[in-house]
Amino acid sequence: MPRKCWLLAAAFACLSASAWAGSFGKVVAIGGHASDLALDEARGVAYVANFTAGRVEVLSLRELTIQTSMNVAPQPASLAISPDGHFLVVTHYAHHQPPQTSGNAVTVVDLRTRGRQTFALGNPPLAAAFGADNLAVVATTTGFVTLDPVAGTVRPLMALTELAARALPVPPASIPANIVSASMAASGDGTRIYGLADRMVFSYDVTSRRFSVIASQAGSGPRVVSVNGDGTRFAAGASLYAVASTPWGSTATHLAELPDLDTRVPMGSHAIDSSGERVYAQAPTLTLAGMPVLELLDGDNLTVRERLRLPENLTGKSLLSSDGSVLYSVSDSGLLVLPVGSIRAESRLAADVEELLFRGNFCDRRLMTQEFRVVDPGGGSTSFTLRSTHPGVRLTPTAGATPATIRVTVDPVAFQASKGTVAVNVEISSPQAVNLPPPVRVLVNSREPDQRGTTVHVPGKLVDILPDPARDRFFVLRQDANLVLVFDANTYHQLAALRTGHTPTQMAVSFDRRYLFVGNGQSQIANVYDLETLEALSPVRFPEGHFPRSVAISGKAALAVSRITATEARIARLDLGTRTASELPLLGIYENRVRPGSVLAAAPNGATILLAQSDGTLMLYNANTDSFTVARKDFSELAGAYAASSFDRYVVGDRMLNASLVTTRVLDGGTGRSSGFAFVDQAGFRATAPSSSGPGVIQRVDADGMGARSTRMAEAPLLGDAGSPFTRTVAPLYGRSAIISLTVSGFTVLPWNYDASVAPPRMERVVNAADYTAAVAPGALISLFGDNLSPVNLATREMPLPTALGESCLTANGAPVPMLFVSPRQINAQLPFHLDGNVTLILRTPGGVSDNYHLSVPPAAPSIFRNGAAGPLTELAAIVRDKNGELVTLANPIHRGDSIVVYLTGLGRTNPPTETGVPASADPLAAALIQPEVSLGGVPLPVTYAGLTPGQVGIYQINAQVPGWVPTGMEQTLVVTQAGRSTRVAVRVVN
Amino acid sequence: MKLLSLAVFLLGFVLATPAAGQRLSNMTGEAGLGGAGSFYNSRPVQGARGEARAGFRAGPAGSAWIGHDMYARVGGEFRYAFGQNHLRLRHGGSAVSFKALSHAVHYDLLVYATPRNHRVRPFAAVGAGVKGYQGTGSEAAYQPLQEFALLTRTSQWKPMLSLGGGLKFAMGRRAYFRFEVRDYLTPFPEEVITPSPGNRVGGWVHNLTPLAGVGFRF
Repeated sequence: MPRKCWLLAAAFACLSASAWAGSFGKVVAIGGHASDLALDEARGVAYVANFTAGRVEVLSLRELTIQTSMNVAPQPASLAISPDGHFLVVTHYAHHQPPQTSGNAVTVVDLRTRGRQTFALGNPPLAAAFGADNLAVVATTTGFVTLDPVAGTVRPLMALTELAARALPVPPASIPANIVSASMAASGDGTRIYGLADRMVFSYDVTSRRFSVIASQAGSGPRVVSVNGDGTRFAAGASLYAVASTPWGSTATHLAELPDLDTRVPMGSHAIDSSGERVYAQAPTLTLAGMPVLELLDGDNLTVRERLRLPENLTGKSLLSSDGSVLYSVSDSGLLVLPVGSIRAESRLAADVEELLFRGNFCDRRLMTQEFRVVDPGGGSTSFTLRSTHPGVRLTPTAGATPATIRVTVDPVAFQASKGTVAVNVEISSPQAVNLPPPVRVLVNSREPDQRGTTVHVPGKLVDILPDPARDRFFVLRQDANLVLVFDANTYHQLAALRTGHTPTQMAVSFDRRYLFVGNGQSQIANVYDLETLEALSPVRFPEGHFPRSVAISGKAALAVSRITATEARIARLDLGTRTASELPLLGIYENRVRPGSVLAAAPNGATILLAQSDGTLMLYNANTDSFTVARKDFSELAGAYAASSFDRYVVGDRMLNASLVTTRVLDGGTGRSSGFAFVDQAGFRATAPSSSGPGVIQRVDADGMGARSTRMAEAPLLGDAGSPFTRTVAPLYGRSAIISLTVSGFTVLPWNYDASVAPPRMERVVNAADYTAAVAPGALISLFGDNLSPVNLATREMPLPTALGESCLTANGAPVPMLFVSPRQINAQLPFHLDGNVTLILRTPGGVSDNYHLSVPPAAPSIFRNGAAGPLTELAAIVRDKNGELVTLANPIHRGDSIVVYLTGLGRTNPPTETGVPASADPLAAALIQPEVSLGGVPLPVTYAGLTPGQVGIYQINAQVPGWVPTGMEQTLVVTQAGRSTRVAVRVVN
Repeated sequence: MKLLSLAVFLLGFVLATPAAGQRLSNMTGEAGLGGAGSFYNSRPVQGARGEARAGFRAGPAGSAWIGHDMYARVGGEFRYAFGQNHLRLRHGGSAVSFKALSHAVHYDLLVYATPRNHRVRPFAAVGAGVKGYQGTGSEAAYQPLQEFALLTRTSQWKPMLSLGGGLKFAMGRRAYFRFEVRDYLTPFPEEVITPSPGNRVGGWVHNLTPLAGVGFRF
């Protein structure tokens, strides 16, 4: 790092500890309104155009103070410094209404001699930027000119129809960015210049001297342009573009738009780092209610990674230092200097989890606890305060300094009335931290025995679900992280996370079942993925200003609902060959004008596409005629589920419709609001819920729309809102093994025959999970074999282990038993530490309650795990040689003098005590209360540790040394003895 | 066999040279060292799944000796020999190997065809000693072909017979060049290459070692 950067870092460290605590960056006031800035790192200064004072302030980058000021012509609006650092060009926007005289001009400052030359212009200059050819391109209200600062010549480059220009005077409190409303910036290599004016976004190729109009409207957002190093990515206003060069020119793709903008306040700023991977942006948003916040965003889809509080708003151009360590931004006071390269040195807060899910259940009403950590990502000690928004969620401690472990205690009794999942926010705040950490969402599920389904926790805002029509997997759209999550339909584990555009809204699979399409609410592209490889392909680009929210693909055409304004949308047709989309001129005989929240659903046989609008309008595209053949408005509003079948049946909300979109049946409305519907052949599954925090209801619906018995689900399916009134929350899997419903805490898995009568569970045999013998001890992992033990196969990775898993609940002497795995024939669980002697197990499932199963539990019953695998060898004893970390086998024998680790279960209680279902502590170690003895070939082995394996549940280990005099041989017996019980395994020993 | 033929040819060649009768030295002690190639036979490993071949890969070897002539045509020497021959197991088209070394210490009687003061001295050698086999590779929980035998990181000493012959060619008053071919015979080292349970391996291991070296008389 150059010396000046160390000085800057030191200065910022001092500032952040005192005057600037709680906000990020340093303000440099200039005594006027700044309109633009230019960096001259070779001279260690920045130039700031003081629009209202008629000066160019020269700021020392080391001292962060104004060294000198250059008095120039009135209203310096835009600055550009030549690539060789020789000249500074200043445009003057002195565009006065008559009778005042305008003083539109350009000043060239020779930075070596400080000589200045001013050229009068006939039209107001809007912005300027230098290309790699050392010529300045100046945008005026009537076109573009080039200025040669050496020769002092101005040449016209291109004429334009008049661009908007606000004449002076303007009302008070108008900032320069809103008066000039234009900006230009060059790429780091000077080969491309991008610009923004009221009526266009444009690019200029410096090499070919060619202009291109990228968008005919600048849209809302900051009046700023920022570009990465090679010009392949730029942002203009609120929009982020990717530029690809082709033999016939360059193509700009609208990647994403700054979300949630408060369009009434067109201020803010942004900058892209040299690589284009990171965008820094501040723009007033509706949710942040005027609080100035710098967002650190991904450079491809503007996913928010961090939010930092700023001392004031940014109001113009932002520039990054050449090493990317400092961001300089025009701001309310003049200039805001942000040490973005040393964010780690700032006090920040973060939680190590996004959400915590507490699964309450009918056989466990005890207090539930989980932990999370609050840390300073930079490793510092930052004070914090926590607040729960629900009295049933208690936090210990509620304040402290990082790093800290927070214990969250939930009283299930406070939530038992919900019968579903209640979301509670734990807000993290700090007077010291400069960032805005997102709250930790605590989800508390309370369910009754009749509520079906196994909930799989998936954090984030999930908005759509779709089964793969040809493969055993399904897709979930996580909107807040801009991801498609791919899940295995057998294990329900996530297979992949695919990046989308901004605010993905809906998915569709191509008719040939090879591609997945994703529509985005804040990107003018639809993402495309290969379903075989799960790789992203070239997206479908939509026309300027079109945001494809919903996509559906028939046998003939792929259609999209694309939003063009907040109140209007159009139907566009996708060309899958050219990966472009175009707006349809008409929808059959109907005009192409739909509501933005509309959705499309294609029939699985590709014959039709249903269009549902929230104002009650329904339309039907027919693939055979390649046109919209039906349009009706029989309702004043529509919301909820939408689906199309291959048998000319459609569902929208609570209505089942025929081929003419005429209502044939009103579905049962007594189960709550419509959430999801999926056709399977001629029948279907329907999900509803009275509220988000209550239970969900799933119904099997026959071809006539008659609902069979309603079944309550573990939690509510997602319900729509005003912005997205239509929801798709039911996904019958391709293999017809289960139905997945998108629900409050993730998704809920229901067996295909969830509503069939279920036989009561029957326990046949309980053994330890290590060697499957009958010896079990307190805290041991056990395997329970029998029939109808669970309706589903499910393994959990949750910690602490849940006491209800996959609709099964096991108790031992009345105490809930934490479980790791459930299936119809086997359950793996951990026997509670406090139980020994005579123990009675009872299993509860949706089929009923099992008979009692009696166990005799001694204080210790060591059993070595036989779960090791090496190559084709399986069921190997879990004994590991320290020397190479590999399992002891015939090919990897124990050597005299070795250290070995034996993994086993059943060593009983520990000191200090360990909670059942909770991973064992590493510090202090949980040592076995009763010390085991180990021998090999009859020779005792010194034991250096015997106790629980840190981080594991129910797994113990014995660390032992092998003396030099143990007998060698192919089959020496290793014996572990504890409390009179022993287990043995044959091992090979060599010299 | 080729090496043996070469040795016989060289012996005949040397005996026919005019210099064979020259007297060069009356010194009786000698020491030397040489480099060699080391070649083994393989042994069958019989098991329920058929037969595999267990043995050693060809590799470099080295030897050092110190000796003395007791009579005009009879001498003796202590020798140390080192070999780097990786363990090998083959079955069908599959093979697996494991790094290994060997060390041998032995005493041999040498019977010369010419007296000690002749420039060229063909000799036959016979002796005995011990040979240590040492597996030095990295062990893993699974070894391919382990259903036949286990290549093991351990060491084992075996009694050894040494048979061979060669010639010494004087290059000056003290120095001489030596070429020889030896066969070191040991029982199969079943602790280093251990037959898997139920399998059998045995017999003699032949280690044919053609060596070239230099020695000094004193």
